[in-house]
Amino acid sequence: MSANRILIVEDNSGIAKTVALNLRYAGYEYMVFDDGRKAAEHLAEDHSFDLALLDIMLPGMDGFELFSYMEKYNIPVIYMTAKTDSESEVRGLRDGAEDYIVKPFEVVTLLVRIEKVLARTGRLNRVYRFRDITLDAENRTVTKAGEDVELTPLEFDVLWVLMKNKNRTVSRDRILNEIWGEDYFGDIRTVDVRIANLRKKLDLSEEIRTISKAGYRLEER
Amino acid sequence: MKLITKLTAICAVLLLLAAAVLSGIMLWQVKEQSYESLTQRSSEKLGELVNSFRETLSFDFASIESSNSRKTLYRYHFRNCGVEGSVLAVNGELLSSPTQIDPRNYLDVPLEGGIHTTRCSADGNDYLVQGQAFEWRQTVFQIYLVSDASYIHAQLSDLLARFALMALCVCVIGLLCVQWLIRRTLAPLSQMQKTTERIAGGNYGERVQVSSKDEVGLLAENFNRMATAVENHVQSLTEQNARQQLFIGSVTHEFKTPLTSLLLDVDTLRNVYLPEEKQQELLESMDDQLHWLEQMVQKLLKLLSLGKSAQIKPAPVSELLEQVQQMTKGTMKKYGTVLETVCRADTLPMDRDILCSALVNLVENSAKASAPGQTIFLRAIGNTLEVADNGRGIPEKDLERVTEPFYMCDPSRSKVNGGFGLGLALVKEIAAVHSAVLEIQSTPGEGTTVRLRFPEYGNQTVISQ
Repeated sequence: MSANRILIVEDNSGIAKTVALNLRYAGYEYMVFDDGRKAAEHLAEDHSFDLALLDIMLPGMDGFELFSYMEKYNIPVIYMTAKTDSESEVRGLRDGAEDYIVKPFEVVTLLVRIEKVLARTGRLNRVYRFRDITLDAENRTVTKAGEDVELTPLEFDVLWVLMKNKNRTVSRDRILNEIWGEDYFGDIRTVDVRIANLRKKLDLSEEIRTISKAGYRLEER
Repeated sequence: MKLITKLTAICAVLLLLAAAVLSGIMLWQVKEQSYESLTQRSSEKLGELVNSFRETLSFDFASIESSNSRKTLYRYHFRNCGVEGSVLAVNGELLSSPTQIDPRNYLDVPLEGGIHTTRCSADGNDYLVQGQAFEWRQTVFQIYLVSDASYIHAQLSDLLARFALMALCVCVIGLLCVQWLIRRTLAPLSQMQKTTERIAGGNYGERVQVSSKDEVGLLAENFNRMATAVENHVQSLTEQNARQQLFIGSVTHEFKTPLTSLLLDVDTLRNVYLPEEKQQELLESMDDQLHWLEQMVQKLLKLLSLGKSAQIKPAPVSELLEQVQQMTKGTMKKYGTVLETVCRADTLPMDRDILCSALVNLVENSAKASAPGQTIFLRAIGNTLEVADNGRGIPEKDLERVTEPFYMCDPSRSKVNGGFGLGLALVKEIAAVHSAVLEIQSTPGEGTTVRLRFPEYGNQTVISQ
């Protein structure tokens, strides 16, 4: 299974660039358009996208109009817009958009929503790669250079979170939250123990970096 | 209490009073008439009685000496006269059998004066008592006639009952009429009351429909005039409010986009492991967004504080045009256009710096809309300043809205040109500060002319060339 492909239509180049950058580091492929009409025209030739991030106020063709094209090619949509009024939210979701994110938003929130929508629509790429390490979330197996590596369930989950957030700092709290959900208040040192084990078992002592006062980061140099 | 209830109550009292007074007068008159006719009849009877009794006296009593015999004879003759209710008294002594009452108790009959009359009542009965006295051979005869007058009382009671019934009927009918009249008269008032209720509920378009020409009609007319004034005022307030809402909405929206970009960049820089050149790229992008924000804040502040800071005094127009020319040199070079100024005006009241910025803004707009090599005209003629170009013009649908803050005819192109959509809004505001009228004429493909028409000013002269 190859990386998920995401279509971004956003006319503010700053936002588009940064969102794209984050998607790339998170292991997604993407394509950016700053004009609704151009995006629609491109879809006619190439529509193998797993998800579309649409701004609503767009030159050429607005996000709501663009939605019908997404529907045609069966591409799930997340709107990202400054329109906070509930009217557009209602319209967006009634039209069948998968989700709605209001500017300003955090990158993490966007990434989580993207992952949820991909999972819900059965398009999420469940195989993650980092150098010679492959994590298959479907079968819960990890291989390093083709060899199976034995991990405890908790070690597997921590590695999974790190690989999902490749190159991004994740706090211990978030690791726990991603594994057990928002309501879990566990001992965050359990994370430290699993990290130590992972560094040893997978030979990642350099790559899993401790970011002081922030958390851990799996760095791909 | 409602007005109709009050008026009805007053009318009811008045009607009842009138009925009572009228009935009283009528009853009294009827009573007097009845007594009068009774008195007349009874007087006739009494007169006849007296005459016939006197006749008998002249024949028979001459020789009788014994007083007792005389009395018996008197009694006999008197009874023979056969008048019911008659009573005879001789020298104060009652000779005939008395009637229900003793008339002497009620009526004193002297010799002179003919027939005397009185009314009296005893044991619940009314009587009319009459009497006449005469003297015959040193003997005083008093003859009374007592007539029962109770029937008058009964008649009056009967009449009273009828009057009461009639008065009641009249009152009821009268009140119904009065109420109908009051309702008719007050109908416009109650309609006005309902209308005011609706107006008070926020429905300012309501009007009273009254066609009468009386005071109520006048009141309704004035009321409608007032409602119109209120409606207009409210409408202008609502529009102003809506404009401000729109403006705030636009400002918020315009700020949100660069802020989102900045937040995303900071978030990324903090959390994502990035190579050096990517970090630099992000920092530059942030720098751009910050500058953009800063400029927008500056422009907004200018827009909002214009009215307060402007200092308007007469200044020569030629100097103003020169200043504009100086300040737009760079722009002309950048777009390859030429600025031609024409000055046929003397002085105008202005804040030179502010007015200059408005003209610079207009000239820059024209430069952006023109093709390289085209000429832009800056003219001052009398009390009008105008900037004209032969550029691409403004589409008709946008013409009305171009002075709205953040309005851009073509968002994608304007952003490339670095605009905020605030320029013309600012110019409009500057025009307002100078009490000038902003006019925009444009034909797509042929060009645009923007005029600032100042109010007539002093002994201003048009310099002819």
